Order: sequence, then structure tokens, then C-alpha cells
Amino acid sequence: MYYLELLINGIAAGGTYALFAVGLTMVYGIFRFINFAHGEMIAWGAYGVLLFLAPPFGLPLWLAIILALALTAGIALASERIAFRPLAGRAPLVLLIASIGVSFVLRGILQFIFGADLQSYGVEISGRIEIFGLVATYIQLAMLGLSLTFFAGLYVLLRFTLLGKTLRAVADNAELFGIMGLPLARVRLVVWSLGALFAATGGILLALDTNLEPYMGLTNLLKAFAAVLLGGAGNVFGALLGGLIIGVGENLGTAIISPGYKDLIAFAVVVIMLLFRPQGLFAVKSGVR
Amino acid sequence: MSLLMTGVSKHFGGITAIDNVSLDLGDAPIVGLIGPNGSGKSSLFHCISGFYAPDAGEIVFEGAPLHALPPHRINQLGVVRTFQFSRVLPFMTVRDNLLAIAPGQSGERLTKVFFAPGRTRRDEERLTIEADRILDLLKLDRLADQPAGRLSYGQQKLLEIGRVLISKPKLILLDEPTAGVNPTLIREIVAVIKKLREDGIQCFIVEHNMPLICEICERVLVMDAGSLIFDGKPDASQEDPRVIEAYLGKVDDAAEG
Amino acid sequence: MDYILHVLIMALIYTVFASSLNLQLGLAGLYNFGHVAFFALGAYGSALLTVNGLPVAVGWIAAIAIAGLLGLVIAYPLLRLTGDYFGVASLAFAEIIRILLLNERWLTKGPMGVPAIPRPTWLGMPATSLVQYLIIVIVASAAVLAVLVVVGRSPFGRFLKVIREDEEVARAFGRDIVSYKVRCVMVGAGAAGLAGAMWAHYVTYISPADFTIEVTILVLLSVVLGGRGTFAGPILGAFLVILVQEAVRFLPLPPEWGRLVVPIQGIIFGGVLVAMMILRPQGFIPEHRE
Repeated sequence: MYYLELLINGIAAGGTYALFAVGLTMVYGIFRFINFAHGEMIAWGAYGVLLFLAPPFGLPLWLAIILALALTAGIALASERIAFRPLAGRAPLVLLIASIGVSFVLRGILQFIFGADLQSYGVEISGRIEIFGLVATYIQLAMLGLSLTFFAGLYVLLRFTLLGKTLRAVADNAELFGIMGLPLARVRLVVWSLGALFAATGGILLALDTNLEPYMGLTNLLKAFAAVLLGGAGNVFGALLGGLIIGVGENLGTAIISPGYKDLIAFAVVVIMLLFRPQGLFAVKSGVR
Repeated sequence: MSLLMTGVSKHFGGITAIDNVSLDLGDAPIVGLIGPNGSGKSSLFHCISGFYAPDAGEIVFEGAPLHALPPHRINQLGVVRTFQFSRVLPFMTVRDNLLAIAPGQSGERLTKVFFAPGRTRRDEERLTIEADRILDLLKLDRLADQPAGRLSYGQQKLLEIGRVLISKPKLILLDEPTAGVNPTLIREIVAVIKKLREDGIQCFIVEHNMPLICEICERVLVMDAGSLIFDGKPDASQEDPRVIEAYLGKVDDAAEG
Repeated sequence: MDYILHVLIMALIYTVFASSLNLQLGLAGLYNFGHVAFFALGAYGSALLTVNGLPVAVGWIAAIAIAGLLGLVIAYPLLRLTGDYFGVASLAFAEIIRILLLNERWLTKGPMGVPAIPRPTWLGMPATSLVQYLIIVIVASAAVLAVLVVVGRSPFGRFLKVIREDEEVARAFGRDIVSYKVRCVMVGAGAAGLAGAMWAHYVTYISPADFTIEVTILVLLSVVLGGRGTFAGPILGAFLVILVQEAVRFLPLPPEWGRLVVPIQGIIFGGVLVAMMILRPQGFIPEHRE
């Protein structure tokens, strides 16, 4: 029973990690670099809600969420335009270093505005359901539910829309970017804003469940990367599974090892996957699937 | 002193790059390897030099199993290669391109650097003399202190051969040494290759330049679609029906497509 | 005056730290984003030994040894990885080290950290004055930097550059490049360990929170800013970074603005990092004339 509770916790957490991982894996699959600043989309999503909840905005939660999502997408697009597009075609490490710089700027601005202390929305969403004696909070249900919904939507996008097919084509062959006639600007727009939206949603869920602190992006970035590695770079549905594996692994792991080492599981996964199976557990060709 | 390959195969996914190739390089000083594009010539070189591990078969050189060794060990055994496209280090000087990879520099062991600096210095002097001798042979001596990136493409290919020479080779794998090189420098390269024969170094050359092959090789191997389809004299290869079909077949495909 | 001494001490420590990263990153092209782990182990190693009574000189030598040994241990598995994967793996590894330091309280006192780290003794008395400590740091730094220079200029260092420029060529010419990379990381790690020890004995109190990824970014910035692959580059970079960092701290800000120091530093450093990558990726002091 206890383990099933942990499992539920793990699945909910894993769903969130999967949301975090989508943007990271898409950018890696299509633009071929690891975007270190992606973690800040998580943080800015969460803090964006705080921004719109508080004076001078004082908006209701649902509106604050929508605006926060829009804000985060905007930040992602701006960072792409300012920092990454000028570096297009350069070595992946140059982009990685630049993305590290961007993450520092974004986190710095965040901390400048909101301070370093733990914060919370001050909105209580308590309430839980009980099935067969297992308890899941509404927020956990939201985490899993939203995650699955978003991924279903992503699936529809990738399989059935022209844009989605373009995305997959470009991921398979980055040289297509040089060919006229493909809506590259739109591809760029979709990839960056989708990734940010997914991550921001996850960040908001996280903040609703726990709290906010300026490093929440960074701490979850490596977990997102672990999910990306498990799923295989560019494989968004692999990232979903990867996220679930990390979430479940972390939570079940606390039954065995001390809670202080919970974060270490994800980091250890990163190292082990890189060493032994960098192509991911499911070993599909590169691309966005 | 020979390279022996038996039943070597290499696949990449569904593609067969090398299909059950067996050959004995024997004593012929200069052996050519020709074939249409995509016939597996470079793959063969990659297998011999250790960059690819064959899926089947054996590659043996003077008793050593090259198919099971990493590239650096193969180099140490005296099998040295050039690359199809110039891989000189553009930011290092021409001379440094030779010194950096020359064997026998004790200063590449940190303990020697600190505890035997005299020996390190003497090795450096000895190697510098050797490098300058080679640059002289290659007629690159005037450019010794220039960054290698300033050299013309042909000069870079010569420098690549210089790198091979300073590595004390027994068998040299030359991958298209004259591709993209202007005719004057081609003569230089040919002269150097002929001199290698005098020094008892065996050359295995991949080339597309048929007149060149006929001029310098006593023996030529022809590959097509991963298989060895001819092994004999260069002139005979021009008349061999399988060789003709291998090349012409490609021309036909191109005409149809 | 004290401020100048403080900046000099910090800048020198970071010079050693940055130069040790430059050996890996600038010379061999190894993007070690976990370099702070060696700094941390040097700091903790020396701190824990000297807090328990051993002389500081022993602590500093032990710091080099411990960090160098760790370099050897992690190098073999991780150095099979290419470029950006090695970067991420080394980053994860540094976080693992930090979590270990945080949790193994029996050894490291966990989040409480190690207080009252002793200063080196100077003619029988602890070197509590800044001038004394500066002199000690100058001597130790000069020694380590000299070692790094000798290594960098040796044939060993020359071959590291071959590895950086073209790994396939390096492999094709008779050397086991993993062995070269491992030795490179070991030397860099040992030097970083000494930098960590010098830092620990300067600030006299350390905790795991001092060794986050931010520190890696700072030292990475030092190398990238100053110019990789050169000897002078990391020196310039370290001095610049420390100057900016300390300058922001000493700005005459109203007290309630104190909390803004860290984010402002982050914004400046991040922005400079991006700008350098776009405008001048080779750093201020270029290794080659273009």
C-alpha cells in the first residue's frame, strides 16, 4: 500500500518531468544543442503566475495562468532570437555555453524581481480523491491528466498536421532548414513556444503542489535531461516514458535510500545513460517522433 | 612483411560496405585500390587502420591481428594512413604538424617532463632534425614555420605524407593522395611515393587517377559494391570485363537517372 | 586597502582555478562542466584534515592528492564521451558530489559546513593578516601555475592540442588518447584542489552551498572571457570576473538592495557569456592570429 502511494507520487511527478523534457528534447532533436536555459521556462511559468496574481494585476488564478504561459513563451522566443539564432550553425558546445549564459540572465532577472525566499501562490487547492484506499490529490491528478492531455495533443500535431510532419522532417534532416519553401519560421515558433508552454505548465503544477524558489528551474533541468536521455534525443514520447521512469524511480527509491539522496537518482541516471546508452532506451533514429 | 585479409565484411544497417574481401598484399611495393564511388575503398582503409571493426573476417599484419586492435596500436605496429580529405592541423605550424605526432618523444610522459627535462629536450632536437629532413624532401622546408592552414591543398596533402613518414611506417595507406591537387604537385607526390619504394616502405593507394595507377603500381585491386572483383596488373584491369561493367554500369545508371 | 588585498587574494585563487580548467578546456578541448567538484574536494579535504589538527601545509598537499585522485577515478569512464555529452555528464557528476557532501554528515557535517578552518602558520603564528595570506597565496599560486605552464608547453601539452583539433588524427597517430585526457584531467583536478584549499583557508568556513554550479559558471566564464588555450587568458579572465563580482558587492547600494547583488551578478555574467560567444568566442586573448 505504501509502495502504491509512492508509485502514485512517482507517476504524478513523472508526468511533470515529462512536460519539462519535451522542450529540451525537441530543441536538441531539431536544433542540435542542449538548451541549458530551458529550466528557466519552468521557473518563469511558475513565477509568472505569481506576478499576475499579485498587485498591481491581482488577477484570478485561471487568467494569471494563461498570461504566465504567454509570458514564458514570449521569453523563450526572445531568447532564441537574441542569443541562439545569431549562433546558428556553430558548434553545439558554443550554443550550450550561450544557453548557460541565458539561464543566468533569466534566473537573475527572476531573483531580482521576486527575491530568493521560498514563496507560494497562497491559493489552496486541497482536496483529494480516494480509490480503493489509494489517495491522490487533485493536483497530482492534474499533473498526470494535463501531462497526458498535452502529449495526446502533441501526438495529433506531429502525426496529422502538416506542421507536425514538417517538424519531423526537419528533425530527421537539419539541412532541410536551408531549403526554401518550408515554413521554417513557423517551425521555429512552434518548437520554442511549445517547449516553453509545456515546461511552464509543469512549473505551475509544481508550484501549486509545493512552492516556488528561484533555483526550481535549474534543479529540475537535470531531471528533465535525464528523461530526455532515457527517451532518446528528439523522441518526445520517449521523454514521456523517461519522465515517468525518473519520477517513479525517485519516489520508490526513497523507500530504500535516504530522502536527501532523492535528487541524486536523476543525476545518476544521467551519468549512467550517457556512459552506457546515450541513444536512449528505445534507440530510435534521431528526429522528433 | 605483408597484410593479409581473410573474409572481411562490414555492414552498416542494411548496407554492406565490405563483402567478404580476402587479399594478400604480398611484397609488391606499391599496390593500387580502385573502384567506383561507394565501392568500399575507404571503408576498407578504415577497417585496416582500426577505425572500423569488421563484422567478420580477419586482418593480419606481420602476425598481429589488426581487426582486434584500436587505431593507435595499429599505428604503432607500422601501419600508417593518410585521410581522404586533408586533415592537417591548420593552426599549428607545418613543422609542428610533424613534431606533434612524431613517435619517440619522451616529453609526452609527464614524469619525463619534470624529472628528465634533458632527455625531453634532446628528443625534441632529434625529432626537429628529422622533421626538417622530411620537409626538405617534400620541398615544404620554406614553409616550416607557417601555419599549416596557409598551405595550398596540394601542399597539405604532401604534409599529410610527411606526417606518415615521421611515424616510421612499414605499410602506408594512402587515401586518394592526389585528389584535388594541381598537376605540378601531383608530380611531387608521385616522386615521393616512388622514393618510398626505395626505402622499402610498402604503399597501398586508393586512387581515382587511372594513369597514375598505371604509372606507379605493379599491381592493382578493384572493388565494386563491397567486393573485390579484380586483382592483377593495372593494364589488364582496364580490359577486364567485370571492371568495365563496374564502371560502365554506374555510367548507365547515371544516364538513366 | 583591505579591499584591494581581498580582491587580489580571490583573483589569484581563481586564476589557479581557471588555469586548471583551461588545461582541460583550452588545451585539450575537454568541456569539464563539473570542475567545481575538484575545487570542493580540495576545500573539504584540507579543511577536514586541518580542523582535526594536521598542519595546513599537509592539508594543502592532501587537497591536491585527493582532487587529483578523484580526477583519475571519474576521468576513465567519462572521458569516453564526446563533447557536449561529456559536458553534461561532468555537470551531473559535480552535482552528485555536492549532494554527497550535503548528506554524509558524519564526514562533512552536512549543510552546517566546516567552520573555524585554520590559517597557515607563519613563523609560528597563524597568518591572520591579509598581507600574510596574500604572500602565501602568491607563492603557492606561482608554483602551481608554473607546473601548469610546463605541462602546457611540453610535448604532452602539444599533443593535447592535437586531440582538441582533430581527435581522429590524434588516434590515428599511435597514442591512446584516453590516457592523455585522463592525465590532463588529473593535473587540472589537482591544481583545482589546491585552489579550493587556498579558498577554504581564506574564508575559514565552507559548506556545500559554496560549491554549486554557479561556481563552475564563474570559472568557465573566466576561461572563455580571457581566452582559452593561452597562458595569460585565464589570468585576465579570472581577474576580470573577480573584479566584477567584488565590485558589485561593494557598490554603495542601500541595505535593502543587498539581496540584489547575486541576481545582478548573474545577469551581468550571463549576458557577458552570451555576448562573448556571439562576438568573440576565442576570448580577449586569442590563441591564434585569425
